[in-house]
Amino acid sequence: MTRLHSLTRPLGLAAGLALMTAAGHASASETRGYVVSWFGVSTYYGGESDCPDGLNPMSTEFYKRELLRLGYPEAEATKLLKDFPGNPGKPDGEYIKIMGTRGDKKTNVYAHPESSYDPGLHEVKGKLAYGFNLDGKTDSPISFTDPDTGEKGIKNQYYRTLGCIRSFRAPPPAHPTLAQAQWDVLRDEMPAWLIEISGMTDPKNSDNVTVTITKATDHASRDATGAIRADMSFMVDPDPRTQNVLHGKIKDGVLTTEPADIRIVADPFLIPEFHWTKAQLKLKVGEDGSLKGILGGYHDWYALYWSYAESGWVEEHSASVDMPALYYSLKRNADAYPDATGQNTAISTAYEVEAVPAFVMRKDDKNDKKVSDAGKAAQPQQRVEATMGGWLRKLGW
Amino acid sequence: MVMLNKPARVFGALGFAAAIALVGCGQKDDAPPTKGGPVSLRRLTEPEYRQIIADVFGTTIKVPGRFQPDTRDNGLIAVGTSRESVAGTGFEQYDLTARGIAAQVIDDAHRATLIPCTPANAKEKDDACATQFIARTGRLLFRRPLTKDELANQVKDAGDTATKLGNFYSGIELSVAGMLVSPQFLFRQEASVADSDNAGQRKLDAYSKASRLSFFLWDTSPDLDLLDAAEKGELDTDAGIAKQVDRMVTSPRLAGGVRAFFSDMLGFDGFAALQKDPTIYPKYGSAVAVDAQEQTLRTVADLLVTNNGDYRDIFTTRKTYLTRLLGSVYAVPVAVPTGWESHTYPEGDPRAGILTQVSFVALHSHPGRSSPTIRGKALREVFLCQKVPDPPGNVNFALVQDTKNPAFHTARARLGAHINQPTCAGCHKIMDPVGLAMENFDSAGGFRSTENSSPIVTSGEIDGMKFDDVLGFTKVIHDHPQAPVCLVNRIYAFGTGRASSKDEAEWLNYQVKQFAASGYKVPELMRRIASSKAFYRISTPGTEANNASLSMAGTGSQKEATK
Amino acid sequence: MSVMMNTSRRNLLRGVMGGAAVTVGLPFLDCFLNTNGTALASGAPLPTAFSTFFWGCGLNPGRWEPAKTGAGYDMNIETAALAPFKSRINTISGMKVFLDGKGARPHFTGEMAILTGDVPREQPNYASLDSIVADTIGTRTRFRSLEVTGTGKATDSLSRRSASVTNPAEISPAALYTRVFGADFRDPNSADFKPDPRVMVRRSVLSGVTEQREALLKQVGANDRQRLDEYFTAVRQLEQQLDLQLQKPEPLAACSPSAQPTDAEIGTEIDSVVANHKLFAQILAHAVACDQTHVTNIVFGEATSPLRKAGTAMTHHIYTHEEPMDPKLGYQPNATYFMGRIVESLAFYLATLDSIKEGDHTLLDRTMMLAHSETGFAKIHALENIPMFICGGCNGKMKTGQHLKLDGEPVTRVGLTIQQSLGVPVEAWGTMSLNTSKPLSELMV
Repeated sequence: MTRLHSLTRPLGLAAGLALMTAAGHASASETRGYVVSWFGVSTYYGGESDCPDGLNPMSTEFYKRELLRLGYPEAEATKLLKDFPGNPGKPDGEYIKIMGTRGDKKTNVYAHPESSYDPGLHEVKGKLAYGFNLDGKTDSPISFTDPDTGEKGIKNQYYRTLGCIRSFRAPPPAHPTLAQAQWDVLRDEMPAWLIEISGMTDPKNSDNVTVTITKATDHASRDATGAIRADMSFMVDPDPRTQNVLHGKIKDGVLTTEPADIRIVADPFLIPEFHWTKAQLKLKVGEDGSLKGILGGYHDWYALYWSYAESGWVEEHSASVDMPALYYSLKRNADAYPDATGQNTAISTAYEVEAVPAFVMRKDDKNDKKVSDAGKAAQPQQRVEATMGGWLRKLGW
Repeated sequence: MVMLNKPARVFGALGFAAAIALVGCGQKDDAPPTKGGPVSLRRLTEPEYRQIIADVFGTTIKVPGRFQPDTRDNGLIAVGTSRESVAGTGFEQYDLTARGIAAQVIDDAHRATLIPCTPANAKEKDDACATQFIARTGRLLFRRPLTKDELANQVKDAGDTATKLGNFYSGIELSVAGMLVSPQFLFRQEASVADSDNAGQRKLDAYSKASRLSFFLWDTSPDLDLLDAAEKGELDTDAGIAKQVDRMVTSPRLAGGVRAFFSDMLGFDGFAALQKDPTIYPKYGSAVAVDAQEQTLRTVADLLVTNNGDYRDIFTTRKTYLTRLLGSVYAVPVAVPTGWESHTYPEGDPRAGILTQVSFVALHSHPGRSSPTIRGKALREVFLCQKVPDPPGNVNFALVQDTKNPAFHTARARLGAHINQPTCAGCHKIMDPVGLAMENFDSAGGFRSTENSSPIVTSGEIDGMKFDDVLGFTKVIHDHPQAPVCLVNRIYAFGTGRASSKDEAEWLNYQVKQFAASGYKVPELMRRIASSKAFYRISTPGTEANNASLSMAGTGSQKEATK
Repeated sequence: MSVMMNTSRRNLLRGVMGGAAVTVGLPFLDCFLNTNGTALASGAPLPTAFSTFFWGCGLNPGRWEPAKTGAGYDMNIETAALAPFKSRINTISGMKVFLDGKGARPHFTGEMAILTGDVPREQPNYASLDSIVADTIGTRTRFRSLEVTGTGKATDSLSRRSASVTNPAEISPAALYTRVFGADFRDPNSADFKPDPRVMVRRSVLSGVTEQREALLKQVGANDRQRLDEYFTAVRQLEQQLDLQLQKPEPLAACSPSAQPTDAEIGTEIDSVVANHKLFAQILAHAVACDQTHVTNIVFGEATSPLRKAGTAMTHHIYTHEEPMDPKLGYQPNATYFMGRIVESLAFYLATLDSIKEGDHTLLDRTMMLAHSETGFAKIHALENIPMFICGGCNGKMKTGQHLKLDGEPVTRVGLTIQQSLGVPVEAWGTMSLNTSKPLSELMV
């Protein structure tokens, strides 16, 4: 396999200097590869003003509330929750069965949330959120404003539902606990997600780029700090369910793409498969070769509900997500693709995406020969140097 | 080999002549004669121990426990083995390891293959079966047949143990554990005999020759073929030795011996304690360290053994082997998801030769930054056999402290005082320019062309030879006349377990010329050394008791027992 | 302990393997306590525990030496953490290493002079002080000595049995615990005891090895004989351990080892080194309390002090050379930070020993610990005024609580004093200008 782009290999001092300036305006068109290093739902953290009705209760609280509603006396409700969380099937987990069937006529509330009343999830009342103006309207009552750019008409109803649940809130740079926990498990097991950007004549400004999102045959690997290892090699999985080609441009170092469908096979621990429509990307292209930004689009809301509810009590108690309340809130906040009854079937969403450089490779189907392709990491010498000053800069100082 | 003390002298006592290739003439050993060295008593190293267990008992046997650390002397662990013994703590560990191995030898998974006979009653002793096993295994572990007394005592012990513990296999187990902690196993004890071809001189006896040969070419104890040749007296003839040498040099196992030598010479034992700060170098880790060593050993074995290439090309070869993990360190794509893939850097790529590989640049750096001084010293000492003197006792670092501008951007600037202060420059000008040539490679092996936004300048000079950049530097080292001289000396020291004596200088000089004439081919060099008289020449006679008892080991009385 | 090296001994062992009571004809071990725990059952006093504690790159001159000499001194700034124990600490300042024209190897010559009495040209030439002491006070315990190191390399041990044999140091507290208190530990306070037949068999296997000693030593040349003999010494040490395992131990009130610890990360990062040091200190203290050994050696960090804070390139050592002196403070702040952590760790060790009660006294009272570094001023690798302390009550064998200012005196006087006070039959110690026959009379009792 031959190396691409000997341009990237400095040939002594002169070439090195030439490449330093090339970072600003490379003349040849080139493709760069990346592996996704963080993916999690985007929930803007604005402090107390986000949730004037208060944050949603912890699971111990709403379980107590439900037990009382079901008619258990106070003392007995306390006793049932004494060993919270307890173990399913054991005496200390007696309440789990009860909560699981708290719908009418003891129906499983996770599978049939409408058998329960609507407990009334506290929702976001703040005005700021990340995302995209998916429907083009700037003056609709559900619009948010982008906290960084001030852009109006941002649609992110998913955030409106999730944003006052504790496990979805965290001040940056921390990530919300549930999203962090999911990603931590997934990145060691789920096949890695790969991004390629081709046609990047200039990482700061390129009029016409193609962004390909695929998945790899292997999961990502970690470096010594536990972060996703950069410059790793991946083979693209030819699975047709994750082959996305988007078109866009880069302006002032920010990549944006035109609306399109995006489908990514994920993992049941998160969701078996994502399928966004009218989806867009907005990613800052870093000087160290990284990508950071958001992916947004409409998503089937019931699939999102089920991605939590399918684990039943597990996620409900550990992440304090009151499942029927979640269901009703998503249903209420869904804002696109109405069905015959007029109920919207999709909800506007936004997700944080970060990626580090990677080599993306493909096999040639015809004769199974490995053909290296389009992906290539950003030139190492352009990344921040491994010196004291370097890592300080990396930390953003 | 004479080690250099004065910094100004950078060529060995053997001189420039070594670089001139003379046309070799004929097959006979017309090398200058030598007086040889003493018989040695060398303790096994950890890698040798492990290799022997794998060879004798198979690769499925796990070797538990820790080892008495090996020490380095004159640049090699192999030479350190002649100074080493065993401390109380070390012996505890040998005992633990031996018992762990013995327990596996008799377990259900192994006993059928490793114990060739079955006892009449597994709950009782069986002298016949014990004798068969102990004689055969003992011959392999002790590297010679057991003496009559040794065998009798061991069989009796095994029988008594079997009786007391009610289990034949327990006797075998304790017998194996005992052999593995015995000095006959842990120490390579040599003996000499009179040289019938050269009156008044001595040479190694047959079994000692077998050991020296086997550890030199394959880094393990003699196999059955070699032990049989020793027993039959074949190793007492030149033809007999040549036959075994030929078998071993043409075997794929030669690569193992070459790898063991380079692993020692390159100081890879230093990786065990190597630390890199993960915040600064997140890509480095213990898995990278393992792959890095293997990468270099594969590069070297492929070049020198598989392709019978020129030794000096280890400094300039563009062909190497990578795993995906290494690919992430070098920022090179690697298609194979697990295991190794060959990779050839394009012409002009600064990643040429083993000096630019992680195993050199990362091993010789600080945890948080590179070190031109350490790398320069390492290159001199490892590849050119040049000893750099220690710093003086009372260095006054106040002289180098520029309090006005402590923030030097590049290593070259930081080390400026090393070069500008006369008291420092004497030694530092030997080391720093060499190491500065490699500053494109940071402490964990990653490539960079700037440091703190200042460009890294890698031009310099070593021993009168100039270079413009790191690629030029690798070519200069390739052509350095001292490199092949150093290798010949090192590899001979590896085989003999000692630094060479002054009287061997002429012989070594001859070998260097032959090495050059052959195109610097390492297998040929090893063949010549292993077939030479010098390799087995013993200077000081051993004691009478030594020669008497060990020569008994090869006589016929053991033949029945060793079936 | 005399060892019988003939087959009759093996027969003796074989003869009793089936029996219950085991007498193996060895001298009776006399380090058992009386019921109060204040003395041995035989009435003799409790054994002295000798320790060493070593760190690299010294302290800041002028900030550790007490102002007053003699008794009743006060600790200076850098040793303030040791103040609670000062009545049981002898501080010795001003001592130096004489080179006799030989080159000084930084971070090597200093500790060699203190521990072996010699300035080696290349490799060390002599056994270390603790080995010499162990040969007198450490022959009756399961382990002749225990060595640990805080910075992750087994070869960092300074404990040398001889010129060619270093006792490797443990790098992992968990591994040390397993070795001392694992399967082979006989709890002195446990109710039942039965000699293990497998141990008897192992014992006889080892005698089969040591039986060959004389014959094998005859076979090798003079220069190899010593190394082979060291090997046999090592075998005998394990034989002794097995002998002890076959005997029922006497109860020891102070023996109560804690649970198996979990190591902090083994490396050079200062927080982890300190955390592991604390674990080591506790295990070693309990090992002594349970009479598993009388000699313990701690290398807090090897002589070139690679200690560093996480996320920095700079090590303690590099700071001592390159960090500018702070004009207001009068010292190098970052280098001094590490010195502070080291002294705190020594204080922790002393506190740990002091926390183990043995009747009216503590384990610290019967400890004689040589705590020392290898340079008087790391910045310039000075070999004068090397910090040296003798900590602990010394079991009454030495006066304590003194500051001795001995400018220009050879460091070997300390080693000589220690040997003589512990009953090692030596009149003079050290080579060339380091040779001395004058112990520190201020400390002798």
